[in-house]
Amino acid sequence: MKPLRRRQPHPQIPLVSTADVAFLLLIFFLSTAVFGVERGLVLALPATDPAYPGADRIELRLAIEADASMRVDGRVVGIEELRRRLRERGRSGPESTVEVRVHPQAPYAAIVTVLDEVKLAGIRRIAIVPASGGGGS
Amino acid sequence: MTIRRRSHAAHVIPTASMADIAMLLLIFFLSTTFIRSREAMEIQLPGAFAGERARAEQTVRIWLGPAGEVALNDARVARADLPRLLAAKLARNPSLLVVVHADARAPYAELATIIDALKQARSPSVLLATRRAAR
Repeated sequence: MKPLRRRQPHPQIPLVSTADVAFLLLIFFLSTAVFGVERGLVLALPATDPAYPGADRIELRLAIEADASMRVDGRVVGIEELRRRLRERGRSGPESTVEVRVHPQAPYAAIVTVLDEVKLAGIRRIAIVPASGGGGS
Repeated sequence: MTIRRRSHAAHVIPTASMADIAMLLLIFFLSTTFIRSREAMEIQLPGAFAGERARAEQTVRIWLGPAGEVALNDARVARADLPRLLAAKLARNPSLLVVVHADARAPYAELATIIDALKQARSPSVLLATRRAAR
């Protein structure tokens, strides 16, 4: 007598939930993706040996001290006063040159604040000078 | 005489290929995503109103920490090596934009050395990374 063969079910991988899993992963990637965009102040750099603008071409002299205080033409000013003076200068044309003399220990945030105001005033020519002297950048 | 209603076909949105589309999109995201490992450098970016935006694909990033520590593209480097490394990168791709992520508390002297390194490497411009300032 021949032994009866039991019919075995086909081996299968259950794929019913694959679509759900794929969608969940897709939503995760879509929601966590960060598109690389940098935001900031663009400065065009001069050549290695900068031609420092002559003293007669400087129309406004700013200084940033070590304690982040700001001076315009030697006088300590607040941000509102600085903004007003820069806007006045900016109205005379974008070719105005502003000199920013920075103390080596001045915090970077103060420099960005001044550069931000210079850009907002529409002035395109900035000479950044270390307070100890030397060429512009 | 009543008009016999024609039997309408059931309105079904075919969803058979949804799983395939989802899988293809998933593979696309998996293959195009890159996970960036950053050095543990706590950077507080200064705020600015007049920020410009630049696409990040063609950039080289310099990080300047509050104590003057420097990293180039997420790896710490010696300050003396910065001009050479930057020059090599700019020689390979002259259209690279250099982005400086400097801490708001870092002294200007530290930033000045980076700007000098950029000028030595003949970088035409630099983007000083800022966050959007609150009005």
